[in-house]
Amino acid sequence: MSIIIDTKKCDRCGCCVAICPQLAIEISEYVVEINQDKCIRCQICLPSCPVGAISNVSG
Amino acid sequence: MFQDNLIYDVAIIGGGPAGLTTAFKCAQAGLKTVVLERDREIGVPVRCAEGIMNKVLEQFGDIPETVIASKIEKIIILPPNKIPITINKVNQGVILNRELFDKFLAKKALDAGTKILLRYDVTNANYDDKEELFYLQVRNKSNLIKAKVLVGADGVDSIVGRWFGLSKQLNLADIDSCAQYLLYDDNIVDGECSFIFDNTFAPGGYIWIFPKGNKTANVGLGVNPKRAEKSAKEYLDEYIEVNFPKANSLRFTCGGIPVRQTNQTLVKNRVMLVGDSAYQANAISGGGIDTAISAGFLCGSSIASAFSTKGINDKKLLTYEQKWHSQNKHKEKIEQIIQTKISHSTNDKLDKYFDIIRDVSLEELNVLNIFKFLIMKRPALFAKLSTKAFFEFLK
Repeated sequence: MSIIIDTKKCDRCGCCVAICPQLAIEISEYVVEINQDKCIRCQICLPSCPVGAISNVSG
Repeated sequence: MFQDNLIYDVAIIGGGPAGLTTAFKCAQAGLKTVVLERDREIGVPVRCAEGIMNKVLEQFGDIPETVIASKIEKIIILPPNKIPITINKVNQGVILNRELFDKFLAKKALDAGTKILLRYDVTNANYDDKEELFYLQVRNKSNLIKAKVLVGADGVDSIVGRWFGLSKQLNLADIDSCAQYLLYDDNIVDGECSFIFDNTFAPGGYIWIFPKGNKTANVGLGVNPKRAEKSAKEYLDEYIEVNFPKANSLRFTCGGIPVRQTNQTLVKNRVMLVGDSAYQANAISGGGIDTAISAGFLCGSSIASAFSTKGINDKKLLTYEQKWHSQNKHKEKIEQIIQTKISHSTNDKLDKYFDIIRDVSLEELNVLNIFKFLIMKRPALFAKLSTKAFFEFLK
């Protein structure tokens, strides 16, 4: 399983960055990216997203 | 334009109200000050409902008219039972045009001597003990920025606080997940600000309608992600479909409001935090501009007082934290308790709370004041609070 951000929905607001216990999410001028090496798949970022842009995908 | 060998006295990460106010105070005292902003424009995007108290604005002297979108003339609180509580003759706050307000603050800071660097996205920061300098790495830039004091004014998703161990990640209960449209609709009444509490539409939070003139208003909501079953945007879309079916949207933004704030570390060695990054937003109203500016003034003054020809006096940097906590400790604690109550209440409970404060005339436009009354009427609600804190608060 991995956690992914739908960049079309994402507004770069930073809620997920504030919530992430691993500092695995990085925000820049254009995109928000999850560092899959740091991510522990805790999924706490999913409900924090105001636009529902974060989801988990199997595989 | 940019000298890479320069050593700044103060580097501030984030060009919002907290960072710009801090910069203004530092530069005014003659310190070499730089603001590093990730985005390409000051004041954009607007992640804010834009309400602010007049008394905070007055600290800046003359404010250009364009900065203010609309005056708040009336406040309506709508509990779940839809029996409104109306506060008239408020006249103590305004709705801002944040994109212009932030630029106004930027000009203030620039006139005082600050340098503002846009599209400077700081990706790493290290402190060199021997040289007593921070080295900041900037995305797509080869030169490092050097500074003696580092200020994190980098918002709710602050990375500065976590890099240097001033803060940890927020828990789900500690953040409100928010979405907002700038709506254009015939049903918007200018000057009438509404706060709507209803767990069906905004579980654990509330809906706000802040008019900005010419039939436009910020219509948004915050939900507690622990209670919410879908995203803030989905809740907001449902609310708008029912209540403003014909409205058009001129803007959409979203964001998080920190609702945890007691005893936050604000100064550690030569790193300071200010504004949302220090969780200084009002936990009940979610308002953060007022507190960001007050904290910016305090933080900037402390930094200015710490610099002398002998170097940096670290004890004086700490006065920012001491003063902030002594001014806000009880207020923050009570805001926290009330916020927890609201965010856990059912609609029936909310109706009961609001019935207690019905028909109160309030001298000051302030959500906190409304709840002061609540505390006086029902102190048992706040049993967790020490008696001392309780009386301090009522003063």
